[in-house]
Amino acid sequence: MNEEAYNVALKTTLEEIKNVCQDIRWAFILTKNGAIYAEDDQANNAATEKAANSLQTLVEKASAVGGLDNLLIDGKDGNICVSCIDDMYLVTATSKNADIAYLRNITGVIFPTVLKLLDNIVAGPTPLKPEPSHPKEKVKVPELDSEETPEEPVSAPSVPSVPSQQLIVDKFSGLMVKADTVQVDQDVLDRWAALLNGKDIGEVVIESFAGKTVQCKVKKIGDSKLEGRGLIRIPEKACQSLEVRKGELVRVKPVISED
Amino acid sequence: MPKRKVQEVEFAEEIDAPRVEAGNPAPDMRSRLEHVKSRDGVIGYILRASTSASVDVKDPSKIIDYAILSAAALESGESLSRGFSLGKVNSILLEGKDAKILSMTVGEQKISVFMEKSVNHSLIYKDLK
Repeated sequence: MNEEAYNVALKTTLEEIKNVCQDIRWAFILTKNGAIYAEDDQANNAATEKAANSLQTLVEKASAVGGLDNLLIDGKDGNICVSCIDDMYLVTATSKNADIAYLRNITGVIFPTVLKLLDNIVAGPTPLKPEPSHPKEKVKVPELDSEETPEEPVSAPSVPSVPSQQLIVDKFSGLMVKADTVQVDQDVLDRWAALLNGKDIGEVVIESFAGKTVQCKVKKIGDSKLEGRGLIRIPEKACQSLEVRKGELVRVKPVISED
Repeated sequence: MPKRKVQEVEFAEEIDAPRVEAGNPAPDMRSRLEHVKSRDGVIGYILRASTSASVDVKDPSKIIDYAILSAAALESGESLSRGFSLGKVNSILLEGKDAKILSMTVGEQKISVFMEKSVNHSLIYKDLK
């Protein structure tokens, strides 16, 4: 069965669910690799695409609670219900009075059944599942990263799987302050270097509570009075980019250059 | 633990229950959240206002992940609500395999409560609304 047949099968399922649950105003399916399945009038709709992008972002962040299984947004004039079924997310927008439990029961039965049928019909791997990315060319693995993260994709920006560090923001400014350089404890730099077989850490990626990230050069804290306190001294401009203030926590990871 | 001024991080005495504060959180909502946190199965909360933030999470290693998820949930909720004309968002409930999060906006305060999946989130919603 090809992609088109899948498309038709899933669209038909959506239509049938909408027939059963009259309260559904809008429905589409989002696969984990970003494909959208929806009725024709909704498939290329900007709202559908925007919703899909928004959900994909949320799915990434939801790893903190073990992934996104269910999502219910209770709005003044309606609800949005997202259910994870196998490798897909069923997204439905309903009227305010929709029976969400009933809707979940229906979709929880119909969709797995349809997907199982489709999987049984298909010979070979399901086209909806993301194909494993095997680099065609032999990629150059950074030497220092090879022992720690043998499976790290090398073509991506070189942020290895070194444990990130939570540090407390200390804002600083002045005429001689380099706006692109942050300062952390020498201990932290040493720990990262040890994990990377002695590699010098030249840059770090800083991520704030709000998900803002900034890449900066890094050096050890110059003021000995501030050492050993778990601080990261960030220039004022970088603080503005990260939308953080003094005293807030940020997550910091070293960046390993590919050479 | 060193004492710090307002707008700096101050860790609570229990090592396994850090509290991060910045600014001046609304006392009423804070006390309601403290009550919520005393319920069985509640993992912690994040309260963000325009000029203040308060975080109380049992597992310190998850503070930032939870904070990022909280911000993402509220932002996605608003975005999806706008896209599908749902009006003002009352609440957002996100369930994962390990835990669930209830997020809502009360006035200018954005709240997220993290809890085990067995917790009755409706009661928590009532406590906070």
